[in-house]
Amino acid sequence: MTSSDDRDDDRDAEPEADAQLAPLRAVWVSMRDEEPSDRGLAALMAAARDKASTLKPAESWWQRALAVLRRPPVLALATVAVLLGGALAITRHGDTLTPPSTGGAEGPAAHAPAEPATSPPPPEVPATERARVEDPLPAPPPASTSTMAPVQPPAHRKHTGAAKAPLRGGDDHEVPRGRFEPTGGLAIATDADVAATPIPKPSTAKAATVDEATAATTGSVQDARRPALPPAIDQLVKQCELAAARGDCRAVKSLAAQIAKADPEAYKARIAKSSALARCLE
Amino acid sequence: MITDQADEDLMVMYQKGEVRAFEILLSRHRKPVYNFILRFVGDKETAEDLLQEAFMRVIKGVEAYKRQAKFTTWLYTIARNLCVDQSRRRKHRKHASLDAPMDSSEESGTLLDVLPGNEMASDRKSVNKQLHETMQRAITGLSEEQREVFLMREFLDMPFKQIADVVGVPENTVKSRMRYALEKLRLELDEYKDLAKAAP
Repeated sequence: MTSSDDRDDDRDAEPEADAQLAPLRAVWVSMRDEEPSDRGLAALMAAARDKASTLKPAESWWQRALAVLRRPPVLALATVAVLLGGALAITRHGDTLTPPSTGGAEGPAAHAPAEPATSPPPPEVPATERARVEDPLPAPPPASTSTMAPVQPPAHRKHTGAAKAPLRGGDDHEVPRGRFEPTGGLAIATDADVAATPIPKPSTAKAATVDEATAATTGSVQDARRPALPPAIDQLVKQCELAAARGDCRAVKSLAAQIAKADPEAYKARIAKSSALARCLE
Repeated sequence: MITDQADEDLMVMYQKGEVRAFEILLSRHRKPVYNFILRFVGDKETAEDLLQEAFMRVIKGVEAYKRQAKFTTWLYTIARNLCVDQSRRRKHRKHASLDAPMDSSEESGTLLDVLPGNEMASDRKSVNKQLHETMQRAITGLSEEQREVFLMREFLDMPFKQIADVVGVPENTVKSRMRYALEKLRLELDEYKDLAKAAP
């Protein structure tokens, strides 16, 4: 309660600090203190806690957010999200590395009647990707001057304003230059665009033979067959397949008509015998 | 260590919402405050009620506490005020006092006479018990002003200055009250002086 010096000074100042009181003082000093019962102690502490909660300074929003994020369930959820995201990313990356089963249908070998029949229907395109249009590339040079359409090396490809959106399976599909409606970084090719696309003449059978031989020796069928068809025809076929996949039969018919007009052989091999397209063309 | 902190620091911590600080204050002062109240009012149940009320007031008034003030001064001011209020209420209700006559006839004794205080102590323990009871009666017999000063001075070991702060009177007045209180006790307990000397 106080320092001993203060107490001693007080004692010295007391006039009645005489010997007569000493025995009595010893009595009350020896009086034992009683222990209070615990009655009401819980209520007291509850009140103290309530008061303390009101006394605590209000935490800022980021402190509260941090406290929430530190909770074990949130941490566990974040871990699961990261793992799922990683697994998804790896899966997607794996898709790009796997050669697509229908990717080889571009070359002259695709003109053979057996291949389109055995190829599976075009993959289901997610709704978010249905509106996407592949990387608009510079229009290929006119095929009329050459018997083989020149292959555009990837380094020479240029983006022309619209975002590049690789198709599922990792193929870059070339879209003929035309009018595009920008939609948030993407571009949608309209039927008018398709109709206005200049279609080069198809390659000859000679080119197909060369490509087939190359594919047989290297095994890289997709790369070897790419120059076989003029890019525009190939692109139109792919657009046609995409349109069929999203159920746009009107576009399928329009595109099929163009392909038939530009390259009847390609039409027979790729369009007429495709079970996926048959639904729309019937 | 929080348990080594001074009372005033603990109060400041509690002002910042640290409940543990209040717990330590409670554990430190619960017993002495209870005994101060008990010796003041002379009733255990009332003392427990007043003890709880005193700490409730500490909780409610924690925001008003200033670091410069001594915590014990503040706490015992609260406790003393509660005791004084209780004493006034008791007087108002005219409760039977221990040393009041049991009935109006002059032959009747007091309540204290019924208590086993006058029995001869057969052993040392009984002597001590008897002395303590006699002492308690003598303290209860002091006036409120003398009693509070005596209790704080002799049982809580407070300096006169702090007692003056608690009671709210000048220090010399406190000394004067203490002098009268001791004088009265000496007269009251004069017959027990030899017994007190014999006690261990």
